[in-house]
This record gives sequence, structure tokens and C-alpha cells, in this order.
Amino acid sequence: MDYSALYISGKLALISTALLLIIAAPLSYFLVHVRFRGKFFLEALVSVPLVLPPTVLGFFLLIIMSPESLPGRLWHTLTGGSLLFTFCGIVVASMAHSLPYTIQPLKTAFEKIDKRILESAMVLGCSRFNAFWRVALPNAKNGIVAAGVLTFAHIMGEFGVVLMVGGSIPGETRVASIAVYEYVEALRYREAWLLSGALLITSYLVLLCVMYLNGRPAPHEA
Amino acid sequence: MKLNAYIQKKMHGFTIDLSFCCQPGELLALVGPSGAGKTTIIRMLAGLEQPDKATITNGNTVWLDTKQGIELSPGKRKLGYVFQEFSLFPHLNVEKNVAFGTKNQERVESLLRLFGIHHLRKRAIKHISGGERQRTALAQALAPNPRVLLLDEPFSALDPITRKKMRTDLARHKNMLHIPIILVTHDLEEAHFLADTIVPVVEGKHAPLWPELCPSSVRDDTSKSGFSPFDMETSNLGPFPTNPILPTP
Repeated sequence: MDYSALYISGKLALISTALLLIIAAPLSYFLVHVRFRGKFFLEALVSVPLVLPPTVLGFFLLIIMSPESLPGRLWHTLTGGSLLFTFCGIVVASMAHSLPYTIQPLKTAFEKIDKRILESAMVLGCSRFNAFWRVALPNAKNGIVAAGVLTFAHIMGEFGVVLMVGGSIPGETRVASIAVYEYVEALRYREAWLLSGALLITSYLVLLCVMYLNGRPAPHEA
Repeated sequence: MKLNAYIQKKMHGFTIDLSFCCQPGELLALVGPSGAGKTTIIRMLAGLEQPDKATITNGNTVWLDTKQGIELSPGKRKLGYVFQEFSLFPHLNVEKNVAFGTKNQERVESLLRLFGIHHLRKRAIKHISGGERQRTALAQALAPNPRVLLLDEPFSALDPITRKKMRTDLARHKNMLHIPIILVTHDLEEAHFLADTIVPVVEGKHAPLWPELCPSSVRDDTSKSGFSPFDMETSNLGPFPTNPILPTP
């Protein structure tokens, strides 16, 4: 069995989840607590990956990352390489695909926070960013962990987007779900069973974590 | 330093149009029925809501001047604000809540002692009573040494006995503060007990005859407290205080 596929999936999920939380936490807070014109355009944009078939999203990313496009050329100038068919490429792709899965639980967590404690922080001298850092983040702890766990699970099962952008290079871009697909195609059911079983157990454990965290009261509800 | 405010804002169904002035050491109560716009007024003073037209100054500092386009953020106004239901930080203990807006640990210590919550300093907010929360909220508001104190129905979440006790406590602490204090309340008895100046507000405007204009609502209110505003002139709480800056009724 190809254990490296499980390792690549885990590494991809860990790195992408960490980066996504860093980007999605302030973005979600901004979407919940800041009123601005055309807010729903931005909300719809970050939710597009929810409704777009992964292969279609993967196709767009393939075009954007190609050496002929501006972002592709920029990446080449900075690193001397290409994003396509590399581990970095699949990190970017899985982040783009999982962004709404991270944002939704974070938005729910920030919506639950009483607006008055944020106002109180601002009256006490905090800037908007400080109120986010010192008050909103600690009070959205459960939501952040739930978002992280859900995103991790989602990326562990990533298939279409990764296949389009990264192909299936063993030890580089061949993730567990692609390995299962290839085992089945080659009629190697034993390996497919083992890898699928590992993914099933991981997903179940992740859901248990989320349910446990959702059942726990947040600091402001206790 | 004196607080001067002129505020205008269009609301649903009425327009807030009010001006008042509060001297250092004075407690000015904005009193009126629910939905009169009192909380909106105090929120505009704090910079948490935008008026359509306003001039708010604290001494020589202009907090807001819509004509000149000057606006200080809430944090830069250096004010203390106690919200309707105490908005303490649930993830912090009593001491950290009080210290949130200041780095002066000595002041935090003395406020914890002054408000009788020093023994609770390591307790989580969820593990203290309503009265203790109220005292923590007051200490928190006073910790950064504010130039103005805003109190938005600070006793509304308390039971009647604690409410009375807290009222007495505030009256005592008030004398130690030499800053303008604005209190928002719908309780005339509370306003009479605490305030040096009462500004009755109905539908966002100064309504000197409010108690007489709304007898039923006031009677309902006072039936619980045992105080009748109709006896105001003769009650032992003293006559209705007047502010020389406000037009006399």
C-alpha cells in the first residue's frame, strides 16, 4: 500500500488548514462585524467553491497557475518554478476549495459573540483589530477549533481540485483519495480497502471532535 | 472638564434633537420611557453610533463636529461606559476585566478594593453575582481614568434589593469622581436619588412635562417603587432639579 499518499494527504491538510485559519478568521470577523457597501458580493464570492464542481474550480486554477498567466509568471519570478504539479500548487488549490468550509463555522462563532463586548473593548481604547485579537478570537475559540477540524477533514478527502492542479505524482501530489481511485481502477481492492478504511476512521474521529466541541458551551454562554 | 453635546438624528418615527451640558462632578440623568432614544443618545456620545448632526466637546477636546468633519473614535474619547447589561469579557477573570483598559496595576488594585471585589479578583465572570458584576463593570469603566462616565441603565439587570444597594453605592462613589457623569434610566426615583440634573426625554427631545404627559406609564412604573412623580414638588426627594443651560419649562 502507498503510505506516502496518506502522509501527503495529512501534510496537505495540516498546512492548508493552518493557512486557511489565518486568512479566514479575520475575513469572517470582517464579514460579520463590518458593514460596507456590496458586502453580499464578497460573501457570494467566498462561497462560490461550495457550489462549483471541484473539477471546474480545478480547471480555473490550472489556467490561473499556468506559466502563461500573470500569477503563474509572478510565482515563477519569485521562486523560479511553477505551481502546477507541485505540493505548493495543491496547497493553494485545496485552500481555494475549502475556504467556505472554514468561513461558515467561523462566521457562526463570531455571530454568537455579543456585540456589546466588542464595543466595550473599543470604548476601553482598543482598535478594531485589537478588539478582534483580544476579545473576539478568545471568545470564538470553540468555533475556531471546529472550523479547523472540519477544514482538515475536508482537505483529507480532497480529490477533483488536487487531481486537476497536481496530477498524481507519487510522493509529491498523490493524495490518499487519488490513490484509492487508482487502486480501484487497477482492481487492487485490498489496498483500496485499507486506504479507504484509514480515511473513514479519520473522518469519524474528526466528526466526533466537532460534535464534542459544538456541545461545549462557549465562554460567553457558560 | 465640561461635557457639551448637541445631537440630532433621524430615527424610525421621530427625530432625536437634544442639547445638554454636564459639569465635572455633576450627574446628569436622561430620563424617559422605553423607546425615547435615550440609549441611542448615550451611544452617540460614546461614538458607537453616528448622529446626522452633532457637536460634542469635552473641555477643549472636540469629540465630534459633523460640520467640520471632526470625529474621535470611541477609544480616543477617554470615557468610561457601563452598558445596559454588563458587557464584561467572559474569557477574563475579574481582575483582568478591570485591567483591560489600563496598564496601571496600582489603580486596578485600588479600584478592586474600593468596589469591594478584591477578594473575587481571580474569579471568572460567570461565577460572580449580578451585583458583583455591576461593581466590576464600574471599576472597569473607571480604570483608564476616564474624562466622562456614561451609565446606560446600569442597574436594570439587578434584583430590587441589589439595585437599591448599588444605587446607594454609586451615590457614594459619585462624590469622589470629578468628571461629568451621564446616566440613562427610565426610573424617575433612581434619577431623583442620584442625579444633580434631570433631563426628561420623550421621542428624542427634551420633555420637561413628561411625567404629566404620560401619567399612565409613569404610574405603572412608580407603583412598584412607591414613588409618585405627581408628588414631586412635595416629596421628600426634593423638587425637580433644573439645569440652567436647558430652557426652563
